Amino acid sequence: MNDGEDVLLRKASRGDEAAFLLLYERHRTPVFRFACRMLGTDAAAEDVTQETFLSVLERPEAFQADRASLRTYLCGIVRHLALKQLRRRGVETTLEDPPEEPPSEAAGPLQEVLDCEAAEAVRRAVAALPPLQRESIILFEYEGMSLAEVAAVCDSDVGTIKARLHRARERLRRGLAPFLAGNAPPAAMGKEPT
Amino acid sequence: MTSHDERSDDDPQLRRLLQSWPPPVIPDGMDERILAARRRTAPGGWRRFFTASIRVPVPVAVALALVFVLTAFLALRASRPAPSMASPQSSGPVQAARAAAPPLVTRTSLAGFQPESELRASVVTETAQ
Repeated sequence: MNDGEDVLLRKASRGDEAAFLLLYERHRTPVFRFACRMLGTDAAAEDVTQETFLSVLERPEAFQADRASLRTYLCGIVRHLALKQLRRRGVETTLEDPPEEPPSEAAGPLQEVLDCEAAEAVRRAVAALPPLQRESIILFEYEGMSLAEVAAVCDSDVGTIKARLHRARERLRRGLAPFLAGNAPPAAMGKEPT
Repeated sequence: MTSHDERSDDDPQLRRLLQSWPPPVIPDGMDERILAARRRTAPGGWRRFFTASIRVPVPVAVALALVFVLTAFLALRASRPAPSMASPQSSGPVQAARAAAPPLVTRTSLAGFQPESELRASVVTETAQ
């Protein structure tokens, strides 16, 4: 239930600890999850989570409850901070569809099948996506947001998000081909008794 | 939730595989750290008094500034002392004489002036005296 979150936010920004705790408890998990999946490390995600909550308290009037939910608004802040961190790391964050890096010879598909668990392979495949595709996949697939919500977070339109999701899935299918049907099942996914 | 239509481009197998990546777990101590940071920056009492801000529309701010400047100008003009006639070079006796003398008339007015209604001229000669 998101009713009155703008009121809670204003109370929290005026120093009401109970209001802040309520909002924090409600939104910390999706905020942290999104930050962590975007940035890849707990420490960076923790920093972004903290900065997100503090910055929203500083300017509560910037949140307009009639335009988006607080969760969407918070994810928008996380996105902004995460892209800033990625740019500091020298990652190109503006290209829609940069060329894929060729797979390293040391870790070919077969080696990956043998060495990595499916979860690790997925993590690496998602982390290898360009940031604009990564954020769309994370918000849509992992956070369960609708296309309209993803578009609101990413400050974009639904058509652009659809295109990004399509390209991201194409990349993921290529990167995770050994784990998908028609290929030899990887050891890590073989939960069936042999 | 995402609708079926939104997932028309979807690949169920890929989705299942993507879901094998477990959600990140919130690290121990993150809550304490964030709550402590929030308490450090939370406004309260005098801190809030000194750091609080208000938003004023530009036209209102300009109008207030104009009123302030105008008031200050009028107040300064009203409190300015009249120019003194004594010059710094005047000696003591001269200044004393000026102080004792009737005030110097610097302005004339015809208010209340009544012309003579009947003028009678008389000639006085020296021999008559």
